[in-house]
Amino acid sequence: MFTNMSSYSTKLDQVSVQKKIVLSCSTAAILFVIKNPFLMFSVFLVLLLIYFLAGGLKFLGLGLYHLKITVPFVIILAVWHLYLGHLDKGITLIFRLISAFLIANLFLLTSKIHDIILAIQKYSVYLKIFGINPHAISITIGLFIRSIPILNQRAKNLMLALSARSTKRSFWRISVPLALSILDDADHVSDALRARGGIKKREN
Amino acid sequence: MEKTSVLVALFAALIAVLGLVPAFPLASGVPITAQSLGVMLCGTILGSRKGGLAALFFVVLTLIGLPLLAGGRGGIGLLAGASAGFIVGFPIAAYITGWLMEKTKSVDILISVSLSSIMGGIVILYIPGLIGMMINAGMSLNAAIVAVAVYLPGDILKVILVTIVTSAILKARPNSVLTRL
Repeated sequence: MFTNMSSYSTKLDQVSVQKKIVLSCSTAAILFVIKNPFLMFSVFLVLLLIYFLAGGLKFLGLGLYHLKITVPFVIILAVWHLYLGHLDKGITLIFRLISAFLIANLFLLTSKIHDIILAIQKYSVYLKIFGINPHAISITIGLFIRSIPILNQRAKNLMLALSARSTKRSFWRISVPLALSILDDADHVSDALRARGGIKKREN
Repeated sequence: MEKTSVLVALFAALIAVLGLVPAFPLASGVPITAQSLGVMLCGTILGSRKGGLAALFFVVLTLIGLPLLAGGRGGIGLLAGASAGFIVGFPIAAYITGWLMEKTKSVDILISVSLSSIMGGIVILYIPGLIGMMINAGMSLNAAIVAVAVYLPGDILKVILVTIVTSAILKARPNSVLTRL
């Protein structure tokens, strides 16, 4: 599930994940300051150019393909602003949305999820200032990622068990067993963690 | 410490799974994202601090880029979408739900759960949600209220479900409902 979104190799693959996180977050933040529709549109064109320069025409196509999830929002925004007659505001908002997704996808398409998680773990050391245990964060991230497919599979199994008993497939019937199984897992896993040394109180 | 960490991870994973599994149609066939259901459950079962942490954990990892929101969305770009306010509001909603649960310990579980999840999961969650829609979609307050009104019936169903689940868990595993300890 958490494999790379893209198999294309681009020039941005070599750039470190930390730099890309900082860059993509800061450019996404700048988008919210821009109010001029022409400026916003040129940002969009610049982003397309970056896609093209990073990985060629195919990568640009891939970037545009991954914009498909924004289509419903764009349609709603377009209809709404055409109805109100605020064309320039609508263009600004639409291209802000598209540009923000282009930036986020550029980051995701050029970094491995594995590297992103390593970067989070590395920088969570600084959370010590707020009294947060970085070792706990690492453990929690690992557990979180691992338990998503497990819970997903369990939900499916419960659904199968339910369909053996009833012709109705409704989520609410499996919600109680699913929640109970999660709480039982929490007991077992925390005991197992403690038995294997537990979470370090202080990172040296 | 270990228990907190595990509970936060598992409940954050629960929120993620509720958005990932497409095979969860409601009776009407309308696919409503069940993720706010997970947020409410975090609050009612784990309480303010741990529940808020679990939702925060989920939101931070989603914004960094894991494709965990309903429909496989993820990344900082979400902050420019119409649902930005709701995503940011998840941790606040879980925290308030849990806080209200802790304040209503002596009240009957059904009343306490439904009240806190209505307050936390609907009223409190809709405030940042509406603000996000006003900023990102350029809507007026009235238009945004009309737009979110569509989700109200679904959210009320979720409150009912949360009430059923939480009270069932209290019966089956009294020590696991941390807000009632």
